[in-house]
Amino acid sequence: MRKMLSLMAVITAISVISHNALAATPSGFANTNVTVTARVNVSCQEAQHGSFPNPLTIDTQVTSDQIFLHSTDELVKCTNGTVFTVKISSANGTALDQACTSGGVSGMLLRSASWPGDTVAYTFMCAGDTNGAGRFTGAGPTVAKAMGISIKIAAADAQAALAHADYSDTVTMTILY
Amino acid sequence: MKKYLVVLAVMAFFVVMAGGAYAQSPTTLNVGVTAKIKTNCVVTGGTLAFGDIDADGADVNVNASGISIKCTKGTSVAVSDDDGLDSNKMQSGENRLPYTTTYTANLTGGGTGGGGTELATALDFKGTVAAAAAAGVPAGAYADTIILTLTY
Repeated sequence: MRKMLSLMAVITAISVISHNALAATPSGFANTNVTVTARVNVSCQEAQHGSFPNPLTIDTQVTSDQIFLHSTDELVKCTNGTVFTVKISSANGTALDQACTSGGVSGMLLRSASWPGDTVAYTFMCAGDTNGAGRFTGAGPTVAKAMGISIKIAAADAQAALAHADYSDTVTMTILY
Repeated sequence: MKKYLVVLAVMAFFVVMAGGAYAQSPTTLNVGVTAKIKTNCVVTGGTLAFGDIDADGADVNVNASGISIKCTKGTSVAVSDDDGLDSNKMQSGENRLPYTTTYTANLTGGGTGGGGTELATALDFKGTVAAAAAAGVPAGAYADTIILTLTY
């Protein structure tokens, strides 16, 4: 009987010791996966509206092409790495959604308000187009891309223009991305 | 546990025999009964979905969904993660979109039985994509996989 009680005591002691040891040391691990996803959208917006001196003063006596730089450049912000183009349309001319390149968009036309039959052709240029194809690359929403807009009037067109003070055109720029 | 039960069965047999042999001299005996509850945790993964992010928007904060954790009652559980496949950056080809996560690193098991306590709420797993981070990456679909480890 004593032996049996002793055996039970030993068993109990071992059990307690074992339990204490388990409590002090990590006894297991469990792993699982958490899937992380996101989609970054493409976004472009005009950061600054472009404009030209008003009015442009065209000299009919100049024998070379006349280039008029912008007063404020057209600035565009696009998602980093996004390739975008700027399409140009002329209210008076035939240009419709032409890619604005450093080479320029033809089919632009200034028209006299008082003498609608009198017009002056011009070229609209985006010098910011560094690859010549009219494709720009966004640098993120904090970095504005300058289009480098300008207007060129060929010498022949200037020399042939009739003198009026009310030539105008409306240029529509559309950002495609 | 089976070994313990075998030992107890053998001891019970001797007790009965001894009782029979000394029936005229009653003796009180203690029978030790022991059991060990195995510590265990069951965890199921989930998703930290940031959804559509505008590059020119604000910080995006989301809660994880679908994570389930149930551990033996009273178990101390330490939670850790491996920072994903590339140091907490979601991937889209060569591009990387950084993000951060937060959660409660130490939990206490609430039981895994039928009415077991779900610890995912206490885990409170959240993620953030900072506006500046989204502004610096190209548009596209980004993804990562985090391994969540429970130590108990």
